[in-house]
Amino acid sequence: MRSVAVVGAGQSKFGRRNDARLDELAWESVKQAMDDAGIVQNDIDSFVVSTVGGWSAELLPAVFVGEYCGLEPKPTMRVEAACASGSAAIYQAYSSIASGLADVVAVVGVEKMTESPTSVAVELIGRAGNYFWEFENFGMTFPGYYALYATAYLSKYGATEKDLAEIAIKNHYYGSMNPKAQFQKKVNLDEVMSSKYVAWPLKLLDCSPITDGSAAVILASEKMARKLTKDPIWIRGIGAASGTANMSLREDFVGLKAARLAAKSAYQRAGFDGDPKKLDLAEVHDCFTIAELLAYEDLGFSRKGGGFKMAREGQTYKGGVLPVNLSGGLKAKGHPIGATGVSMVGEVTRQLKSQIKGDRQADIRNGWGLVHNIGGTGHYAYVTLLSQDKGGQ
Amino acid sequence: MTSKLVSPKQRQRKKPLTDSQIVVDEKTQLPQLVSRRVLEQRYVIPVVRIMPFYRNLMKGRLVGTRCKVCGATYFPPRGDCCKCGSSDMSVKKLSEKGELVSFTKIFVKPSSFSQFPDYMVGVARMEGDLKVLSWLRGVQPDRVKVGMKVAVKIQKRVEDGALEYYLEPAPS
Ligand SMILES: [Zn+2]
Repeated sequence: MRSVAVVGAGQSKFGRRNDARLDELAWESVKQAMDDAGIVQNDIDSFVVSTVGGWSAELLPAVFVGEYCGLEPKPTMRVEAACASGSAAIYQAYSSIASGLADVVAVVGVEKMTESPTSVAVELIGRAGNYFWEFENFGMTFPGYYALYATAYLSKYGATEKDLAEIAIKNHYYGSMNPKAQFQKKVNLDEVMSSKYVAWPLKLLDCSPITDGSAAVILASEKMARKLTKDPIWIRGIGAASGTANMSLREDFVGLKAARLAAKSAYQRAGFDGDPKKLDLAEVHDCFTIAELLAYEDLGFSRKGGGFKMAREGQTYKGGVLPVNLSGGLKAKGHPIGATGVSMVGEVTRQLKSQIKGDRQADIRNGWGLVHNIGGTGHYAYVTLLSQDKGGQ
Repeated sequence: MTSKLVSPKQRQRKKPLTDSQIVVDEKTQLPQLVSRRVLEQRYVIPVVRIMPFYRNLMKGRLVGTRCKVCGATYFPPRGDCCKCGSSDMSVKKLSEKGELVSFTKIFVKPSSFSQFPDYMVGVARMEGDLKVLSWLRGVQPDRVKVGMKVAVKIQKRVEDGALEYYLEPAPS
């Protein structure tokens, strides 16, 4: 396998973006990413578009985006892995470069969720999972699914809703420093605890919002990366796994098996021993506060049942064991579903290059960062390790 | 003497043609096209291989399936065994008793469930190890505990006529 590097990254402002159509929104990121990499469309061999859709017009987003961005007639496809679509698109681009099929691939994640009313978005996200057995008769929602995990977790380990709130407080704190975040304001414990229940025990401020946004990264082979930049960030390993569609087929509700398998596989491929102190930062999938706690444990940052103590002790702020979600996470930065995974990889890339302005820049000591991106409720899982060091040979 | 003559061109300029689908968003004051094309969508899904499930449900029994070749059991029921490749399946009656594994109460509902009062959903591990996800009825949220004993019941739902299986607390 050939080495693959991130050589450019771009991201739009996240939020309610009714100033731009899907293709226009995608262009904002594609242009930034191409400028960052110092390339033009002609230098790109193929592009992968990550969009979940259903709430927005245009059923063939890859060609719609490709035409607007001047990428036609390059080969393309739309990739879907629910909220992990962005990582799946990166996995696809990474594979085509690693295998020698391409040298430079653009990955574009874009979502326009506010083209439909909020109630329609809630409906569509709830339908994802298993429509036939769980949605048709029982009207499951996405917060409802993660609430099943929250209830089981709190009950088993004696964690509290206040522990969940700590995640929201931390991520809003960092989001307040991110000019591209949907919510650039801090929240306090009272505000989180007094927000309305969405799916007990999860409250409004435990949930990521409905977001429009785009993100793009340019991946390149070693030969091209060396030509384009003096500081490529290497993709050292991607691990992926899937879970059952039906919740009734899950073994337990206190962790995501797919995430544990994806982490194990990514760690093996990257030759990483799983010690969180060796990472400078992690972006993890906090679509709900409980999801971040599960991530600490599934990724091995803490022992099983110890994730909420990390949150309680503030161990995932800068200065703790490992800073997590310095971007504000999905919680505050926003969660434009198809763009999220691409945005996470772009963020870790910029962090490892110390390009972030202000206090949310991580201290880069080891040159390693991690991205954990989950689709659905552990239906899909992707873990990606990035490093300043190419490694091997 | 008083009225001025205007050319057809000038008249057009004074009173432009309008398009009712271009509207200004109230919050952001940004112009939007509101699509005129409305789609209503209703799925039609085959139940050929799981008809025994519905026939039993109509008799008040909740069943899964068991593979006649390798003995694997399934809930939700299915017509094909992915463990051994056989499609020779028999009905497997689920135990009516189980233990609650987790639960939630849905306050923000999908639009297609807006006619329902807020509902509770539970997952229970039934005796014999198959799990069931359904609504949890007959108990106040503050009285529900993970691990409590539950039973499966079947009824015709008032609001939409669905023949539903649901969980309710059982005497332990
Ligand atoms: Zn079998």
